[in-house]
Amino acid sequence: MTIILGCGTEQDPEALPLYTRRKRSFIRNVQRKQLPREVIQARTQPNLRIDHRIQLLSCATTYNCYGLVFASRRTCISEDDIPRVLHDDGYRTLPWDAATWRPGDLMLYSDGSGQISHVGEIVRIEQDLLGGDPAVWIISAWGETGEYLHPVETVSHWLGRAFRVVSQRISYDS
Amino acid sequence: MIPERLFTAIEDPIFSASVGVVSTTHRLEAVLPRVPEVVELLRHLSYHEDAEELLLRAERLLLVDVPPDGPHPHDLPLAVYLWSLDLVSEHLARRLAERMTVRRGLWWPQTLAARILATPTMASDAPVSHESHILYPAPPLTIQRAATNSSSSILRSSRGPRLVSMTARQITLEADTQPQDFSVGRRATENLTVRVAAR
Repeated sequence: MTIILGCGTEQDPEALPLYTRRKRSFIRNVQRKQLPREVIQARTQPNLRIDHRIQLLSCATTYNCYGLVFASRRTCISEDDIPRVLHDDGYRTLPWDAATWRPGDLMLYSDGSGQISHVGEIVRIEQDLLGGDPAVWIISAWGETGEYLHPVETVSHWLGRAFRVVSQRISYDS
Repeated sequence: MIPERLFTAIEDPIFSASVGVVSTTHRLEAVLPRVPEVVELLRHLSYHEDAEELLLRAERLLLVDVPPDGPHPHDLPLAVYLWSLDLVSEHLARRLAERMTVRRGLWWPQTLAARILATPTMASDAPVSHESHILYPAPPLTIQRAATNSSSSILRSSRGPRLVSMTARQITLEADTQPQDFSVGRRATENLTVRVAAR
């Protein structure tokens, strides 16, 4: 039998050399194969049926949601490394108030256990002129089923619920 | 007996589309206990015959043609079957995991199979023919990764495995698998080949 030890680690020649901003830690990553066209077409349809506002942006399956936001769509990142990435890359938690959020901030999702289950990038915040909650739009990769533009709470239920916003922005008045 | 409709549901592309949205195998393992089809499957697996039936089903799926450089068409269902077997039968899960390691195009089962095969065998749950057994304490065969290139520290264990040979990319170890043969109280020795990801 054959077991691959250290898959995705710094010793793995298949892994991309990916480090946190402080260069303290290697970010474990594995590149996934692109699914064939007929397979990915079948995978995207159930997601698009969740809500008519969900838009398919890309059929790419070579990166996951963490790889999208932390590695520029290059690879799949292990979620075990995410807390370290957030810390080393200088992310700070923003108040749960859309007025403080900006495009580029990250929306973290959780399944209720407190663990991060999904991440997406805020790309648009539309104010409600009638005073209702603003519409927050996210770009995120949904496993091996493609990349989507979607309202913040409109995701597959297996991805969890939005629970925290983090930002790398530097503000001189904060 | 596991109903055919359950197999059909799990092997349906819609199932992979629904559950395949999760980011990592770790997340997959977190959601599977809440997936209705998997919950139903697990209910059936309390019977040993059904677990063996599941293994045979998975082995058949494994053998389907895989396009060169393409994913296995039953990648996610195979991960579900392996994960389910691992919950009920260490012996059957290891058997399936071993077969998976030589098949191309598997993504989701990869991490699961590696974890199952790297876990020390605590005791065999295979059927035994004897009425009385001598149970030995499980040998601590924990394999740990070390960050050096030294052969003695790449893999270490308080009681083996022992290094047999080593090339630049492959290490062959010999390990006691004492509890696997506990029914007749004798030791068995198993060869384990480990491919190390090294630059």
